[in-house]
Order: sequence, then structure tokens, then C-alpha cells
Amino acid sequence: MSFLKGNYKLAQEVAPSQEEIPADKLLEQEYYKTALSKLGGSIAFIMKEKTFLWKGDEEDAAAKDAPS
Amino acid sequence: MKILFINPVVRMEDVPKHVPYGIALLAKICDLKGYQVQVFDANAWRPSRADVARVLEADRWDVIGIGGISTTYNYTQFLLEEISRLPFNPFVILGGGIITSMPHDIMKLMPRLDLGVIGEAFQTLPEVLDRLAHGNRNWEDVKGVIWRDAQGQSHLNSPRELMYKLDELPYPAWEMFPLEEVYFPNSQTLFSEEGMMAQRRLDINSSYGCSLICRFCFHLGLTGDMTVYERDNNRDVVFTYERDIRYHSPDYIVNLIVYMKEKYSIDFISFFDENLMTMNVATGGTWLREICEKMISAGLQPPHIRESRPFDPKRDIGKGIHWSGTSHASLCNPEILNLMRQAGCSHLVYGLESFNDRVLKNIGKGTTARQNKEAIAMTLNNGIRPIPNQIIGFPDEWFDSIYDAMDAWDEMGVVVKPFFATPYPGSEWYYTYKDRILEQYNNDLDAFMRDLGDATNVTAVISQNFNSVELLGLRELMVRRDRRKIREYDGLWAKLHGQPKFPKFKSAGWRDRLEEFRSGERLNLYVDPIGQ
Ligand code: B12
Repeated sequence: MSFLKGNYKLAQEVAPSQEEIPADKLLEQEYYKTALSKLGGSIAFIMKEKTFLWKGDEEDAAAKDAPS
Repeated sequence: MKILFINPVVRMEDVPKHVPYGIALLAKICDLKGYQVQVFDANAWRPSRADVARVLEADRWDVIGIGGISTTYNYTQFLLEEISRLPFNPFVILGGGIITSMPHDIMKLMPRLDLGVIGEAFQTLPEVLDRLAHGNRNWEDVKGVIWRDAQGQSHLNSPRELMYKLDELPYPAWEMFPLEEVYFPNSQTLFSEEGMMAQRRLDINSSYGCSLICRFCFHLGLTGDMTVYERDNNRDVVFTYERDIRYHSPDYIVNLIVYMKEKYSIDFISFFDENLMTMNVATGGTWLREICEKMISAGLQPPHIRESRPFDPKRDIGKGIHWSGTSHASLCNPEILNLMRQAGCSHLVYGLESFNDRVLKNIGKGTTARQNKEAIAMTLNNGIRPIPNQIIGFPDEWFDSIYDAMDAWDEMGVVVKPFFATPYPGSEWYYTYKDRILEQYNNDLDAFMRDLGDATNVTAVISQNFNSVELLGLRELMVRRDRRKIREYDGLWAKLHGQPKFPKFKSAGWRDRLEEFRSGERLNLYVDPIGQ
């Protein structure tokens, strides 16, 4: 498989790089894709990478302590 | 000289379904001229950023040619960024609707571009390449290009004559695209049973142009629609209602299909033509008839049609050629539809757009609501599925046209989720509403271009009566046929706004713009429509 097709041979073929996606990630992507195509009502989900994790008031506290 | 063609990603939300016909033809033309050619079909591969960088570094390209429609804007900007990072300096050319519709704007928004091909490239690109091959970078007398001077200023040249002997074009360089890897596995289209069962589909563009003047449409400068005017040393493109309709001969088309069947074992063809019926009417009804008759005598007719029995996937998949195309509600007739079915036609796309006569008239569609309904019935009666495209959000859209649509959908069994009227660059309504469009994007043309995609999403609104929130809500309620809620809102709307606005379009958009440039010299071969 080569990304480039033409009328001469390249010194080196460029093939799609084998993305090393761990099996659980593959399944996760499949899940996102399928769920997205049915989005609505009770079909709703959370994109794990995008999740904003609330860590209590740490940042607020840090902000208060910082010199202004 | 080494040339790399890149097909930018388009319609990310769907799998890649169409070999870019223009690039495939240009790649073949360059091949026949003896250049070293490679094609990177990014749309087919949907590669990662790292892979794009690897492809760009795979050779020392002298020229990189990119091309596509306006909605490839984002990806083209991304490609140009990547090209800027290269340790060598290829000459970068952009072609297609993206630059033809707004040559100066695109040169400004894409500073890495060296040159743009405006309109048809079959003759222009070889001339540009020939100059590059001879170390000549003087573009002043090359027709059909926009180029940059040493100060970075863009200059638009006179337009290139269209090519009339279309049959002299070679067949597209399909061998330079990932047919087996990507396109054949994506052959299915959900427009008809036979389309859904297609195993090996390819496309053909057999004609250029459309006689109609739909104000939301654009013909890529390929159909006599484009003129270039000059005033005070300032040149720009102007798109008009002039049309120069061109088509391949039935022999060229049928020979091409036979070649595709023999070489690639195809079983389905989508005709890309803007409007097959225009060509048929322009030839006094002979063009499509000959194509169909020649397809049948070349043995391409699917057996189930020959034997007058329904399509049976178990027996009929891959036998003969099924095909699809585009039709027009006031230009089709039962005889031709019947013959098209006999020759294997499975579905025809109709831009019905609306079922309200005021709206249809203002679009410039050349149809009425009644003709729309008759065309649906006529097409179905002849065994072909009509695909009833609908659009809402036209300048004079109002509750009356919304009720008309729902009533017609119920009457005719239309199942549809309409597009939103979108002023794509190059269309008359882009120029008519340019200020209003840009206002919606804080006067940032780049932001508007980046937002453009499939017209199933709201972008710039050109409706005089509804805003984007209303259009989205109304579409949802229309699809559900919730007339009660729409009526409720209708009452509220009347209290808020009083009377609706119904702008009338005679020919304002392009005519105003033409007037603007008219005092200058017309750099075109075609007749001046105002002067006529
Ligand atoms: C195939 C097609 C598509 C394909 C993709 C295009 C592809 N990969 O080729 C798909 C199905 C994805 C598509 C989608 C849409 N499309 Co479309 N599509 C077409 C269609 C039917 C055929 C294009 C074609 O092959 N033409 C024939 C070849 C020979 O012409 P060409 O490709 O333009 O190439 C010539 C020149 O433009 C130029 N050229 C092109 N590439 C290059 C590259 C280089 C390097 C150079 C120098 C020159 C050059 O030279 C070629 C030879 O002269 C045209 C209608 C038509 N018949 O042209 C509409 C058309 C291009 N589409 C159009 C529109 C509006 C859309 C949609 C927005 C529709 C919608 N309502 O959603 C969507 C966009 C979706 C999205 N999310 O982006 C408009 C143009 C819009 C614009 N301003 O650019 C057209 C003209 C239809 C119309 N009349 O309104 N489309």
C-alpha cells in the first residue's frame, strides 16, 4: 500500500504508518463512532481525552495565594 | 520535472467516494506530456499530519498542484503550512472552484501560493508547466492564471478560452488513485437499491454546464459563466448567466464506459454532470438518446432490465452497468426517462429545492411546484428513483413556503432533511449578500471560508425573514411534520416582525457587479449580455 501513485517509481515508497493503537483504544474508537452515529436522547457519552477533571478548589486556592 | 498532485480532504464526515475527476484528467495530461507525476489523494487516505509530512518529503517536487472546491479551504491551508516547512521550494499551484470564485482573495489568504489556475485547466496547466520546465517564470501573457509579482501583489490575467474538442481529452488517470484500497470498497451509495448494491463504482463527467441560472449555484468558470473585467488596472472575475454548454460525444462516453468495464470491472457509474437534461434539450433530445442506445448495443444493459424482472441481488450484482445522474423537473420527459431506465439508470438527482412558486421563481430554477411533483411521478413511473433535494432558508423563505414543502412531502412521499441555502463563493447570492455574510463572521473572510462545509449545517444566513436559530428549529419541526408548533411560532413571528420581506431577484446580483466593472475593458471572448 502506498500513499503515492504515479508514472515513475519513487526511491522509497511511503506507506501509511502503522499506527500502534492498543486494542482497547481501537474498541473505544469503534464505540465513539457507532454511538455518534446514533447520538440523541439516551445515547450520549463522554470523550475520555476531552474530560475536564475537577480537582476541588485547588486552582482557586493557588490563585488566591499568588502575588498579584 | 516532477509534479505532485494533491487532492485535499473534502466532506470529512463521510467516507471518500469520488475520485477527483479534474485532477485525474490533469494527471493524465501531464503524464502524456512526459512529466514525472505522482498523485497524493489525501481525501482517499485521510492521513495523519505526520504521514502528510512524509509524503511531501518523498521526493524533491518541482511543482505541487492542489485543487478542489471551496469547502477544501481548511485542508488546503493546512497543506500549504506543511509545504512551507519543506527544506526545498516547490512551485505551488492551486486550481478549481476554490480559487476561481475569488482569485485575489485566495491569493491574499494563502500567501504560500505561487500561482492559481482560474477556470478550466486543460490547456492552462500544460502551458504553465512548459514555462516552468524552461525556467521561464514570466506569467504576464499566460491566459487563465493569477500570479504574484516580486512584491507579492496578485495579478489576474485574461481568461482562457474553453476547450471545445472535449473528445480530445484522454481518459482519466484512474491508475494513479487508490481504487482497490479505498474507492471500490466505498462504492455503495444510498440513493437506490442498485446503488446500494454497487461493488465497483467509478464516476464520469460527460458534459460541462447547465442552462439554468439558479442563484445559489456556481459553475466553476467552466461553462461560459465567467468573465474578467478591468477597470483602473484592477481586474476581477464576474460570473454571469451566459452559458457555453459543452459535452462529450455519445461515442466518447460509451467507449469510455466499455474501457472502464474491461479494465476495472465496474458495475456502477455516477455521472457528475451538473444537469444531464440540459445537454439533452440543447441537442434537440438526441444526446441522451444516443448514449442510452449505444450503451444498450454495447451490451451494458443490466440483465434484469432486459428480462423485465426486478433487481435480484443474488443473481444480478455486478451484471451490466447501473448508473445515476442529474435531472431537471421541467426538462425531463417520459420517453427519455424510459430509455434511460432501459439503459440501466437507477436514480436521478433532482434539485427540486422548494415547492413554493415564489421561491422557485426567485431562485431562477425554471420550474414550478407542479412540475416538481410531475417529475417525481414521471421518474418513478419509468422505474427510476428520483432523489428529491430540498433546501430551506432562501432569501424569501417564509411560513407559506414551509407549509407548502410539508404538504408536498406528504402528498408525494418525500422523505428528506433539507439543506440550508448557503451562499458558496462564485454563486450570485454570494455577491448579492457579501456584506451581510461577512458581517456574520466579524468581517473575517477566512472565518467564513473555514466554516463552509456541507450545506446540512447552517453557515451564513441569507434568508430575509429567518435567522439561523429559527432555520434550525424549523427544519427539525418540518422533518417531524409538527405543523402545530410551527403554526404557534408563525403567530409569534407575526407579532414580532409584522409582514415578511420578499425580495425580488431579476438579475440584481451579477448585473450590479457587472455594472461596477463595465466602464472598464471586457477581457473576454463571450458576448456582453447587457450589451445584447
Ligand atoms: C464530485 C463533486 C463533489 C464531490 C467531491 C469533489 C471531488 N473530490 O472531486 C463531493 C460529493 C464530496 C461534493 C460535495 C459538495 N459539493 Co460538489 N461537486 C462535484 C461535481 C458533481 C463534480 C466535480 C467534477 O469532477 N467536475 C468535473 C471536473 C473535470 O472538473 P473539476 O474537478 O472542477 O476540475 C477542473 C477545474 O476546476 C480545475 N481543477 C480542479 N482541480 C485542480 C487542480 C489543479 C492543480 C489545477 C491546476 C486545476 C484544477 O481544472 C479541472 C479541469 O478544467 C461538481 C459539479 C460538476 N459537474 O462539476 C460539484 C460542485 C463542484 N460541488 C459543489 C458544491 C456546492 C458541493 C457541496 C457544498 C454541496 C452541498 N450542498 O453540500 C458539497 C461540499 C461538501 C463538503 N462538506 O465539503 C459546487 C461548487 C462549490 C464551490 N464553490 O466550489 C459544484 C460546482 C456543484 C454546483 N454547480 O453547485 N462535490
